[in-house]
Amino acid sequence: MLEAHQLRKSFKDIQAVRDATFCAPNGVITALLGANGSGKTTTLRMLCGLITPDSGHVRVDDLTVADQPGVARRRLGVFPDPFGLYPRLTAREHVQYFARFHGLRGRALKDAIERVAERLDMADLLDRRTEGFSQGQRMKVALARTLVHEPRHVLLDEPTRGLDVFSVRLLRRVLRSMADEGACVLLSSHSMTDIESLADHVVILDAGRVIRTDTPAALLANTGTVSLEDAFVELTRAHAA
Amino acid sequence: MFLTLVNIAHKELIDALRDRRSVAISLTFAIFGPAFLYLMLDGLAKDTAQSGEVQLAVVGAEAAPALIDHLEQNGVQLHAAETVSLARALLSDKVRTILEVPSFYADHYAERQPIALRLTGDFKDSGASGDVARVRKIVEAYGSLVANGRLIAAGIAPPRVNPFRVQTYDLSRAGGRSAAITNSLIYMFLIAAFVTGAFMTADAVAGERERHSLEALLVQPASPLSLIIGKWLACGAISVVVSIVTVVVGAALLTRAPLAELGLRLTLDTKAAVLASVVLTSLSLFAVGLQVMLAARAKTYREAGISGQLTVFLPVAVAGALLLGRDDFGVAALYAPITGHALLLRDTFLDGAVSLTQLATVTLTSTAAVGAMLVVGARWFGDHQRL
Repeated sequence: MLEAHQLRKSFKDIQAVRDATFCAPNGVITALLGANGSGKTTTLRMLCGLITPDSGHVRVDDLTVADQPGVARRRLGVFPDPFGLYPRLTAREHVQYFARFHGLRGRALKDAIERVAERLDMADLLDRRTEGFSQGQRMKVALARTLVHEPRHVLLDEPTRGLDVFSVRLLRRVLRSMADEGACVLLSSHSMTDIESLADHVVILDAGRVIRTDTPAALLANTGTVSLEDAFVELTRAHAA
Repeated sequence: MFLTLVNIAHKELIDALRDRRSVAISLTFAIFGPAFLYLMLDGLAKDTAQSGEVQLAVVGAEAAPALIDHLEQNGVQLHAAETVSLARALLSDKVRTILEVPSFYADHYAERQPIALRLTGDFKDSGASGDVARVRKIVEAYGSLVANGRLIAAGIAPPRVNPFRVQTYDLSRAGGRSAAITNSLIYMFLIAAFVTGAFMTADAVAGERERHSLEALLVQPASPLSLIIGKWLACGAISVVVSIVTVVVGAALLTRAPLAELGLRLTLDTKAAVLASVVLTSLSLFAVGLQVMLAARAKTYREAGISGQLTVFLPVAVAGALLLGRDDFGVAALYAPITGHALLLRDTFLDGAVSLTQLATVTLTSTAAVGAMLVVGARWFGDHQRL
């Protein structure tokens, strides 16, 4: 489980995140939904310890990230936006490199790579250099390096951006299966389609504040709308007023 | 920590060695630097050999026997010809100049009138113009002897009409010229230690930011310092190898260079090569540390490449000062990075030995400086505001 408690972060005069408090439970896909500049990426970066909050704290299960960032990161798989691959390395070398940070070596490493390649249907890509890969192939490599150590908590920043429909379907299938296996999946997105098709739980951010946390069905019921898009617009408009 | 460093260095080595452009630049310098110096020395030796003897075609030699004797005593090899056209026929790669002695030479000499001696040659040819300059000096020296004799005969002491006497000492003949060539060697090695890392560190460090791979890296269970140290180890290892290749190629080529003909005394044996490699290992690791730190601050590969290339001016400045003979850097410079390395290399090639205290101190100060630079670089590398 991931918990954000009273997170606050400013960049000079700009208050990026204000007192954000929410929880992403295990076995559930939680989505951070917000417009551009609402603080989604900053919140995710604080959750994985990349940015130190000005105040508040993050917990990964029983660990406080600020106290034990190295240990906490071993439990996390982070899928950043953009992917950022090394063009001269093969897909296998990418996955090996990141797996070794988590202590995987020898037979365990080889087996982990085989498992993640099978899960992402990318065995044919493993020994090719990533230079010239399509966006969908790049996504598979980035997701493989995120998941190779089988983290119990996965954070994804705008994971479907720029992907074709086949890649998006693959990504949804993988994330759903991980949540079904008990993992905590937290993703940020401004795509209503992603949220509707994936999220069990939604955290709506507006101007750095958490303005609502609920299930998609409850959001629709509470706002009296028929689509998540309408519900989101209604809630952010009410918050601005 | 150790396995993390091995993982990072291993990945960076693979990545860097697959970058053909950077590898080609490094190896080109390692091979062509010493080759260029070898060709320069070889050319210099040939010029020196050619300037050692002057061959001269002379028309009318029988009219000026004393002048002809004087020329021969000063190393000029003469080829007598009866006419100018016959003398022209003698011109070749070695005989490049004609001296014409007029038929009235003896009469004018006896009457103490000025005598015009004509020197003819193709002055576009540097060899011919060198011959003419040398023959002119010898003839002018002979003219001074004749003038002094006439002054004495007239009862005038020559010093009265020649108040100045310039004496020239050519220091370049012995140790001075060896030092100049040694400084050229040092120049080459110092730059080799800096050239390799400039692009590799830009790619390994600033490249993470430019390719957007930095965020994925920083969320791994590895500190920014260990990431920076791993990258430094990989780039440093390649830089050290390139520097040692430069030393090996340099020593192999320069031992075949005509050093003795040039009056040079350089130590290029195995011990000197090993010593130079030790000094350059320390310098290469220092150079890469500096470049890693600067690359960690850069926002783009291009910016890091420029700052990396600018670091090459540091050894250029030190080597330039040595080439200009300004080696009095002060006591601190004996033990400081770059200047200390340069002076150690000079002792290696001139004397074949160095002060072990100086070597140890320079290595220590360099290592301390590298440590400080990597800590600063890690702070810049892990700064989320630079993502």
